[in-house]
Amino acid sequence: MTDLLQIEHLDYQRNYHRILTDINLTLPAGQIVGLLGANGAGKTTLMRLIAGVAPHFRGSITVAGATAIAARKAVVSYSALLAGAPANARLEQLALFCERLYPDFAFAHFQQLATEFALDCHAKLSTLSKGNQRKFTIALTLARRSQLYLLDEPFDGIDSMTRKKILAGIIQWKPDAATMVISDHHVGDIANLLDSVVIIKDQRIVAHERADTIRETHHQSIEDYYEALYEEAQS
Amino acid sequence: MTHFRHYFAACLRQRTRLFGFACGLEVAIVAGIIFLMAIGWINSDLSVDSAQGALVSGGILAAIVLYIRLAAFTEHTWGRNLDRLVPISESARYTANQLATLVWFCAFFLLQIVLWNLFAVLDGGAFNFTSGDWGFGSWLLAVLTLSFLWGFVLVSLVHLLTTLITTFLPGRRQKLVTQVLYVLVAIAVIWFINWVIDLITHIAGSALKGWFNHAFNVEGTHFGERPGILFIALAVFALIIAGFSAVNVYLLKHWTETQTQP
Repeated sequence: MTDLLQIEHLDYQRNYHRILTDINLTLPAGQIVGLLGANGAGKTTLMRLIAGVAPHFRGSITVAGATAIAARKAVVSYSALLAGAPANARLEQLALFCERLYPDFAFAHFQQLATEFALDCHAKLSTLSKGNQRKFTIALTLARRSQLYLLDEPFDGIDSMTRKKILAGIIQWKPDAATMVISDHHVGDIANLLDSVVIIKDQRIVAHERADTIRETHHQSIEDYYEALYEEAQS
Repeated sequence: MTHFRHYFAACLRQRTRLFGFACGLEVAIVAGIIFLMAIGWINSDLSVDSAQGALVSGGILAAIVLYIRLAAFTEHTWGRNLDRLVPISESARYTANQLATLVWFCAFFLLQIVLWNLFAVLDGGAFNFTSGDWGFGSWLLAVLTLSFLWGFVLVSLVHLLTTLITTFLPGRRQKLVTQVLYVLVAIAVIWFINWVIDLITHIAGSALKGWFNHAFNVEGTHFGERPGILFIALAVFALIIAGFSAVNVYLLKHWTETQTQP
């Protein structure tokens, strides 16, 4: 299998606070990967670094052969797209903005997703509930035909019915060759989707294991495996 | 990758509302002044002349508001995922944003000139420009355009430098520290620019000394006779802006992160 994402010796610190230390990670194409870790472990930071919105780091990040930040952005669809977006913008305007600026954005696909999530595209961003904002973000993120999807806690604030709908749809919407990295606190909810898990703890990647291996070799569920790793370190 | 013209068009579209707001504000101010004249709160007769005065006041106030809002909007763009995730080089991103900001401000400025001249014609005046007037007018327009751009570039420089310094400070009381830093960096940038101007004046010495006087006929020379030195001055000004823009692009590319909160 071809490697889609390669991270080598990645160090990152900000405000005298080291957030990631010597991160090495290789992800093949066509996988769904769970990025797990406690609050503040560095999951969001790692995604921001891969997406290219935090440019100052040591080490190297390569996505689909691209190391330059602009080239990386062309192949990465990141769910934090709306951070800092004007609150008075209408959903349709934001979707059109994406259509004009991302060559891989499929507007028809977005509309299909928006309909499925029961989003009113004429509504203003500021009028949406937290859950609907998440749905809109997911619709925008998945409407791109990218090679790497980064979904940062995509189900936070989303009701269980929609969560199930999205989870079921992810396999359907994701292009076969694309890799999807999902971070979520509800490990149990996404466990069935995952091909592998990456666990971050104390600024480092402490485990990168295939989901099958966890179940068959360790005889544990992904949730138990993840919790055991954290408890192990505490004791 | 996103094409520059697509991103530039998007940048223009993003700022349309600000232009519309400024036009609305001007109409409101002018209407307000005329209303106050009509009810006698402002001691002036209702005439084309007084309406022109109201238009000038409204235009200047609206232009100030538009300038501040455009500068703030552009400044915020550097920290917005919506813009920073677009797959385009940082130099193209920077150019598209500054250019879009400048285009809208210049459009508003030109609109004012057209309106003022229309009122002048209504008031019995006439367009009677000589070739010298057009030459001087073009030069003045170029100076003003560069000056507007210079302001936008400096606002971004202060913002980007503040962002850079904040990265190296402890994370506590970030908001307060950032606000204090904004003031300090702004003072430092102004001081630095003064120092550079002093240095250039000192080095250039007699070559630049008095160019303004020559240009404006103070020492007996008409504008049309000495256009070269003025255009050199314009070119130097443009080069200085390009230099500061290069610093901005460097800071944007290597040091400026986006906001983490929606």
